[in-house]
Amino acid sequence: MAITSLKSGISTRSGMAGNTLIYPGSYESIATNTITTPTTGTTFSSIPSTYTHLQIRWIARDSGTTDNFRGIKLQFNSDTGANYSQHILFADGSSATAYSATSDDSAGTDGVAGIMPDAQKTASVFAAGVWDILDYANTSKYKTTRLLVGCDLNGSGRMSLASGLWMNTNAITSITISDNNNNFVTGTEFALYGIA
Amino acid sequence: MALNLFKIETIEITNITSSITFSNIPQAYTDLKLVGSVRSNVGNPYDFIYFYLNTPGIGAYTQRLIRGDGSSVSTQTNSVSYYPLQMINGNGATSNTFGSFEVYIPNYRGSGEKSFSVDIVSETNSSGIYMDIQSGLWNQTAAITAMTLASGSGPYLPYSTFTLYGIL
Repeated sequence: MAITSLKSGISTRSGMAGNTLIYPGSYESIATNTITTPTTGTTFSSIPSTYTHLQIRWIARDSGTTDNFRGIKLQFNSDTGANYSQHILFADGSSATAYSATSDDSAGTDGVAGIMPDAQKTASVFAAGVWDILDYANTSKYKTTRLLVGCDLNGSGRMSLASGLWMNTNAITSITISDNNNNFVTGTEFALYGIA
Repeated sequence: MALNLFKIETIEITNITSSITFSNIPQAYTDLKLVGSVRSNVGNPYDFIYFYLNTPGIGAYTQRLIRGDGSSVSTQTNSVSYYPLQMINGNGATSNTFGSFEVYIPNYRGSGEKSFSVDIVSETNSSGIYMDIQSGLWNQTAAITAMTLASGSGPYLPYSTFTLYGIL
């Protein structure tokens, strides 16, 4: 008999005689936030502490009209203080640059190292990224984030590896993702996963 | 559809330790993914890991990387008897901070030489720290059945974790 998880959609099979046992996966969707009206940010709240790691898979585009790449702020547990740092390596196809910000207000990709295309860039193109947050519920650790992100505009673009630090040992129970300059456009989407 | 990711094992450091090994890796998956959250007991803000597939000392490794240090960018190539997984946090970094990395090994049971990718960051609340995107190659054709991660300049500190996943 097939059993499908209401939470993850993963199908498993009962361990009764005659069935080969299939173990459930270690990767579960917690929530997906899709921007349907331009807005400055979105929050995942009440994140359970039952996973080992978190991952956010996302696409995003900024509403600005100045033909720029824009940054994304990542803040935890509603902490808007200067309790973050970030280090960024980014390249545009012809050169590479590194950047850092310490005692900052987010662990994202703000400042000169923006990665989201704004609305003046090639139409309908979004940056795509994957954020990993290991040991997010470990109360003996500050939280380190690791992001791989890219955006190709068919003639220009950027790619980046970015790390972030939240200097707090609390378990992460909420994550707010904000546009550093303007609004996220409709179609921007952030999907939060828990990894066992 | 959810990613078909299966935890094989997590190793958490509870006492200062100089080496960990994942052994008897099941041959039931397509790819392997290793993630780590690591801090070592060296005085510098950063350290590295000796990464071995199967038996340490067998075969050779090559590496290409691009690195940012917070203000500048460099590249390296290395050819050595171990894979230098660099950089994770040392004990000179901001207290309670740990480096973060992922090693992705596609087709780990295949008959060709083993290629893998790495993205790795060390973090601290100062400008000078390292982050790399790397490609690696182990010049052996054996299926991967074990991984050893031996600490570089200083042993692993408690709360460091290593988790190995199989991917279908």
